[in-house]
Parts: sequence; C-alpha cells; structure tokens
Amino acid sequence: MIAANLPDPEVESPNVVTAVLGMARMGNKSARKAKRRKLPNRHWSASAVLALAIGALTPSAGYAWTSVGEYRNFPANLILPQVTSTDGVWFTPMTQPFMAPTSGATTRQWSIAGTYSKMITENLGVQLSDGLERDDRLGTPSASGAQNFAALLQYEAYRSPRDSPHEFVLSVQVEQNFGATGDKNLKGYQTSFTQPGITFAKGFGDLPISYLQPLAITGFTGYEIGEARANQFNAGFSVQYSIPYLVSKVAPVDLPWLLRGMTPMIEMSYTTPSGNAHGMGTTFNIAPGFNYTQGSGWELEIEAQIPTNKATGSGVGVVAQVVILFDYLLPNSFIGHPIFPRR
Amino acid sequence: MWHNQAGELTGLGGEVGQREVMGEIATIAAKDSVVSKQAPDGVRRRIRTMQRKFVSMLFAIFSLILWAGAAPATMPAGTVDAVSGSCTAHGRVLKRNDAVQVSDTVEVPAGGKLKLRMADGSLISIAADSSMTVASYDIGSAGRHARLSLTRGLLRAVVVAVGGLSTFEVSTAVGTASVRSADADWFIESQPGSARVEVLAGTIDLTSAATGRSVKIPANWGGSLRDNHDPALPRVWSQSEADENKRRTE
Repeated sequence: MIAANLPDPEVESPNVVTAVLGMARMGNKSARKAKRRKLPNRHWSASAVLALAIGALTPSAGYAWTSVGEYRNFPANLILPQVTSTDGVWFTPMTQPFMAPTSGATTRQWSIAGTYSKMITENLGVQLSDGLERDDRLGTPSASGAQNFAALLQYEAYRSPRDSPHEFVLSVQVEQNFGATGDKNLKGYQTSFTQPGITFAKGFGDLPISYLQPLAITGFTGYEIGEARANQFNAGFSVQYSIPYLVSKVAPVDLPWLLRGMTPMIEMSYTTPSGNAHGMGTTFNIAPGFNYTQGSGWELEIEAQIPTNKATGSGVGVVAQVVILFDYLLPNSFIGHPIFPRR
Repeated sequence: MWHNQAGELTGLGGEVGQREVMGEIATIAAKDSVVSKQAPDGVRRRIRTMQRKFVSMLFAIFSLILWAGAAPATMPAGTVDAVSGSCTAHGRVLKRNDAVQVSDTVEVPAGGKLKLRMADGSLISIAADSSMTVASYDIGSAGRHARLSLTRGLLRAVVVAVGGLSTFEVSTAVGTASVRSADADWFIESQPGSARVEVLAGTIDLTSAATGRSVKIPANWGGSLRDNHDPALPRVWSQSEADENKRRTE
C-alpha cells in the first residue's frame, strides 16, 4: 500500500514532521516562516518529513505470494503492493533514519505494520491493515501510536494460463485509508485518501536465454485522491531473479540450501504530487534486498531503503517482512480458503 | 504310520504335493524297514524320530511354497469399478469386476477411462492415454504398503485411511509422490520429462528422483517437477485446473 500512512501536510500538529511536509515544497519563505511559528520544535524540517513519507511507503497491506504458471512464484514485495491477494497475514517492521536539517542531528522513525488478507472469491480479496509507529524527535518526547486503519479491495483481472510461458498476471485494486483512526500523537494521520490502482507481474520464462528466464518484474501504479490535501501519483516496480525458479525449471544447479530458496530483488518506488503540491515533493526510493522461502507456507524478506534525493530522505533504512500463508498451513479452515470457494 | 502322517500333512499341500511326498515317504519307509531290522531298539527309535522330523519339515516347506503361490490369486490388488474403451491389463481387455493383480500394467487408450476399487477401498481413476503399473499393494492388519507406477497420463487417487502404518506412493520417471496424510484426494500426471501433482484433500510429498529434494503440497495446492531438477515451489491451483482434471478422470 503505497503512502498508506502519508501524513497530511496541511494539518498543524505537534508532530512537526507533518506540518513541515506542507512547507517543504512551497518555496514561499513567508509562508514557511508563518508555518514554523506554529510549530513547537524548529529542528523538524523537510527531510525529516519526507523521510516519514518514505516510511509511509512501507506496506501495510498486500504483499504475499503470487504464483503464475507451473514454476513461477512472485515473492512478496516490501515497498510495493502485492500483485494478487491471498489468505494470509504479514508483519512489516521498518526503521528509517532522517536528519533534522537545523541541528544536523540524525533521528529515526520506527514502525511495524500488520496486514490480514482474506480471499472472498478465488479472484477477489480484501486486505485490512494497521500499524504502530514511533517517531524519535529532537528536543521533544518521541511521538508514538497507532497508524491509520486501511483497507484494500483487489481483483485479479487476468492470469496467463498455466501452460503459457508468458507468466503474466494483472490486478486492479482500490484502497481506502481511513483518516483519524490512528493515534492522536501522530496527527499527520488526520485525513483520508482513496487510491485506485493497477498491479502486474511478468515472469521472463519466455526468454530464449535460459539463465535469464528466472528474471521477473512486478509493477504498480495508482492515483491517490486525498481529502483536503494534494492528490498524488504513485508508481513503482521491482526486478527479481528467482533462484527457486532456476533450480526447478532452468538448470539443475547445485547450490547451498540457503541459496536455493532465495530471490534477490530490488524495488523502486516513486511518488509525485499532482496539481497544487501543497509542499509535497517528488520522492524516489530504491530498496535492494532478498526474499527467502522454502515453499512451506512462510517467507522472510529484508531490504535496505535508500533514498535517492533530499526530498526522499537522508539515511538508509531497513525494512523486513515475515509472511504467513494460511491457505498453505490451514487449507481446510475458514481462514485458509476463500469465503465463497467455487469448488 | 508314514501313510497316516503323510495324509494328515498333505492336507495342507494339495494333491500334487501329496503325490510327490507320498513317493518320497515310500522310499524312506522301505529304507527304514531295512534299518529297523538290523539296528538295536534304542537306535531304531532315534532313527524313526529323526525321520518324522525330516518329513514334517518337508511338508511344512511344501505347504509354504504352495500357500505363497496361491495367495495372489485369491487377493487381487483391486477390481474394475468402471471402464470405458478398450482398457487392458497385460493384454487382456478389462471389464467391470475384473481383478487387477500386483505387477499388472493397466493401459487406458485414448478416449477410454478406468476406475479401480483397490483392496483397501481406495479409488484410482485413470484418464485416457495413460499407463499404470501396480508395483505392490499389500494390505493387512499391520497397515498398507501401496506403490503404483505411472508411466504416462493422469490418475486421480482417492486414498482412504487404514489402520496401522501406511504408505501410498505413485512413482513417475522423474520422481515420486507419496501420501503424507491419513487419507487424500489428489491427481498426479506424468508427462515426458515432468510430473505434476494437484491436491484436493490431504497432503502429498513430491520428491525429485534426481536430487532427492521434496516439497509438501497441501489441499488446494499443486506442484510440478522436471527431470533432474528440484520440485517447483508449491502453488495454489485454480478451479479451472481442478475442473479439467476431474473431467478427464470422471
């Protein structure tokens, strides 16, 4: 869920991160000064806010495993939405340092998000997510509390046939972030937004060069319609090389057991405001890491979060994720299969 | 005396065994008669005792041989529950209620279908253009040891729970699928250079013959295996795939 917890830049708040986000891109000095007078702590500024925006890109919905064809499994993403829904749950802890430009001191945001995903039918799923967050702040006590509650409805519109080498799947989704459902300490979370979007995944099992066949990409694009704030265009894609695919389909390579379950991947996310930016800036984040699974109902993942510009942040963060698949571990229970199964 | 003992014991061995044994006993009895006349009483008794033991042992061996040979004929691995097309087992055309024995290779032609009710109550449905061999099918109070070999084609196995230890395996050229749960309902398809398992109920282990590595496949999931490779990670399989396999085997 991209920008699920993006603070509202227009809300005046003790959480100065939120307020400064509104100013950071204005380029209007008087407006900035006026805004700052309302802030309790001047150490907080644009980069801090935008670092939080990066944190907001951390998923709190939808990143589980998608299989297409006989051999292709797209592992869960960490900073991009999952391509399809599943019956499962995942937890995503994250930490991201950022710098208060006035003092030059580094501080940090911590969060952990949890998502429950439930299939309604074989193609339609819903994801419910929430999280906890702590923002360390200079000169004032840390702010901590619950993030906004969010829900996402996702429909798998197309999946290539099992025997097709093209390994393609496409989903449409709409996400609703419910403003003011989080903790008051985190007043950046006052407004709601709605985001329709599209996700897709493509495996390259159809390439003529066999050792390139484990390559795959996933992608997302969405338009975030905020209440009382700027709308935002979000996009991202990932590139991954699946070693499970390599050893099960392409070549019988003898690798250590740990490598056999590993998928190195790199995710990239991009956000930019549309129309009146209200001080919101364009961000571009790169997250290299890897996924590990043995195909037994769980996945572990870890990625670095590298901001690429000042607006995106000032330090390298870390995001991890554990995914538990109920449809694998508890296939006969209510939580392990669609509410309305066809069979 | 010899005649009486042979008569009692040959009751286990059948007519042929009885005739063979009676001939041998007559020879021994003749020798015994000579020895008996020449040896002292104590020695004669010992000789007779040894002879009795020897003959009893012979009868026991004959009986075991005959019993072992007769057992498969009385306990088929399964019977034909339904058949369409010219399905054969070792060349003979199968019809309903025909027995299928261990080591029989069942051929289902294109356009045909075959359903076998196995000795333990399990149901094997074989799709068109398939070939399956019953490698072993042992049922007893100790449990079940069943091994089928699917050379080509598709079968559905509805495996029932039995008491005791149970193994139920279907081997293909590239690997073996074995039932991990007490009962299971699943498909296995064997194609040149690959195999595929899809599970409706229960849990199946799919093991690569080349690498020895396995994956566990639960209900509503499937798995694939290529020659000389590790098994693919399991995947959720769709309703359309289930429908297609059911259509091919029902």
